[in-house]
Amino acid sequence: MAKQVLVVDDNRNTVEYLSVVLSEHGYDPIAAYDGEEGLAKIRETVPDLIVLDVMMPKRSGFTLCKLLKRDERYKDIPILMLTAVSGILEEMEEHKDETFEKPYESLREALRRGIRQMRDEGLVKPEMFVDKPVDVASFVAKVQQLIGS
Amino acid sequence: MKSRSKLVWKLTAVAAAILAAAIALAPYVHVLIPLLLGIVALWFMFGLMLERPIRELIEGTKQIAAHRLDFRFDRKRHDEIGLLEESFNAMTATIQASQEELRDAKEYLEGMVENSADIIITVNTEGLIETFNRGGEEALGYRRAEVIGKPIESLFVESRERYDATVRLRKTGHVKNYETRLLTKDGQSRNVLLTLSYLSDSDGEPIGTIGISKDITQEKKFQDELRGAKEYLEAMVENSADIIITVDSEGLIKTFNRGGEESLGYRRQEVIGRRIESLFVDPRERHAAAARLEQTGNVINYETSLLAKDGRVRNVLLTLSRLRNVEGRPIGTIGISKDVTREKGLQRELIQSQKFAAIGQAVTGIQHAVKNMLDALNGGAYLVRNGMAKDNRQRIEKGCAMVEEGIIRISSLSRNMLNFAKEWKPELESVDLNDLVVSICKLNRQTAADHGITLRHATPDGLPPVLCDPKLIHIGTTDILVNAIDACNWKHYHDGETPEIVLENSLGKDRDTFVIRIRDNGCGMTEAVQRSIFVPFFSTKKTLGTGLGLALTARIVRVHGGVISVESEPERGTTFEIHLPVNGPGDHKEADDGQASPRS
Repeated sequence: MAKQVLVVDDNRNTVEYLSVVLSEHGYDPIAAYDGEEGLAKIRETVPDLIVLDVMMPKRSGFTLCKLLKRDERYKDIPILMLTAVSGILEEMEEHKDETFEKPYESLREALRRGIRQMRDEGLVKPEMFVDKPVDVASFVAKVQQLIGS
Repeated sequence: MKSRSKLVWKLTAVAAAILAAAIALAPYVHVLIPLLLGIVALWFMFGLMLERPIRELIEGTKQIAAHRLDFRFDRKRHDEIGLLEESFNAMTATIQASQEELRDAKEYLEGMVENSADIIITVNTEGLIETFNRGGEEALGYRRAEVIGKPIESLFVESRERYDATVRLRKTGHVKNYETRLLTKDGQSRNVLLTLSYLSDSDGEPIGTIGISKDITQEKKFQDELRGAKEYLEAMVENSADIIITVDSEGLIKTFNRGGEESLGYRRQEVIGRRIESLFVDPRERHAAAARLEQTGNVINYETSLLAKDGRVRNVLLTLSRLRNVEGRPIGTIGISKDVTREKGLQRELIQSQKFAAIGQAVTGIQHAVKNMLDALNGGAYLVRNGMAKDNRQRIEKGCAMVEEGIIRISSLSRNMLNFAKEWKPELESVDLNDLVVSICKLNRQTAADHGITLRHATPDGLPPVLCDPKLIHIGTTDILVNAIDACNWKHYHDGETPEIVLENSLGKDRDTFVIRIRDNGCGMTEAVQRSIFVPFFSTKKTLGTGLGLALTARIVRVHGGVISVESEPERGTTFEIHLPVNGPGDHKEADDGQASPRS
């Protein structure tokens, strides 16, 4: 049976074409368009992988991620986080916080805070990040890395 | 009495002699008897005419001697005795007059001593108090009976000082204004200036001293206060961190405080006497400040630069005032310069970093928007390719639609950027903003209803028309309304709360400002987001906006001479207010810095 991948993004286009990509590679995509719907679908299906957008109405990707990683039932579901801000999260991984220049605060700072908070709270971070615009090949590679083909 | 018995004796002797003579002259008795009778008669006459007046004169003399100076003879005689009595009367009158004069003088002097405000004390040669005037009673609180007979030292706070004054008196014969302290009855001390002299009797023999003490406690206190105030002021000037310099009417430096030494690196000896202009980077600035002082009487926070000893420039805010002497004549100036070099530097840095921050946010925002658009193009292209490979027409169509959408969004972004960059000239007309708000609500009510949002408006009657560009205000207000709809969509409502947006028109307190208030109960904003919402290309949304809406709206409001403000709390909602001057922007020029600001 095909592995279920939940794609949560308020951008319908993204959900739509990632769903095509996933089904083309033998996965069973499930769509959700905001954090609330995403949570409902997770409870309903308990997917094998969650592709989560960072900025979404009702519940942001980070809030949802936090919630899931705190929940015994869902904490082992890998999460692939989608973001439009390139590089930052990888830099975060390498503990390069201090190298950021002041002006680029607002958005990066918000992300950094989210990650730092998760780290401080001892929570497991999303397993992987994917940059927007999504490169299909690397997206598929990451999905395969997480849950196999 | 003695004189009288002597007289009797003399008379008896005379009688005996006469008797012997009578015996001898018995044969001449007829002659002698009448002679004898004559003598007796003479004696009586003598007693009557001479002895009594003389006795009365003697009595008179005794009366005078007994100080009964009102004694006078009843002058009835016109003989020599009468003359004598007249002289006696005249003499008595003279003595009486001079005695009275003397008494008056004495009383006058005593009154003077008694009523003097000074403390006047006489002391005998033993050093014991003999007299003590009312001034003493009042100043020291003693009754005179309590101190008379007491040693004078007991009235001194330091008895050594009394001794010291006495030594000086002995040396010079007179002590004037010796400063000392006397002790009051209740143990307090009075500062006095003591003048000490010898008292001597008519033979010039010293019989004691007289001390006149002027109570200067009040003056002393006042003086001390004055000195204290002066020292306080001096210390204030000296210890001030500001540079405080006084200059005489010739423009030469008179005083230079420690703040000056520290800020400018000069020792005060190096600059006192120098021309004040020499401390200025541009001496003309000092002249300009002095000229302004001349014209307006004061110069406050004049921005100028001083030159430190090592050649560094210190930015200061100079406050300049005239110095006047007691008569009010100008004698120079005092300048207080606040060293703001550091603040100036910080301010420059802040402006710089704010500019960088704004650029950074704009760049990040554009990057974000472009990436989302690229995502649409990328996804669209994938679907087209995949659809073609799989011969899936539906996918191809979907992909094309996505590509088109991306193109539309990119052109909208570039149009917005062009709009933002161009110069704004509102086309002003008199506009009923109630009508405008009603039409905005009408246009957006369906969109709001689709998201389950109630959209209301409050447009009270009697509001004046506003001179503005209706198209621009329509765009700006609609933009905020669209944001409000998004904010409601982004919130997860609980407990029967329903999403609601209200547009309210009102008149500001000054009645010259029209206020359009757009209030929602949506997701609200954090302070950090509030600070950034008017920054171009900042956006928290990816599918809807380009991050230019509020920046544009802020500019629209600004070109109308108005102000836009925001109050927001996460999860509680947001209220935007557009304040527009009723009479239009006037000759308002669009400011660079912008007046948009978060209010919370």
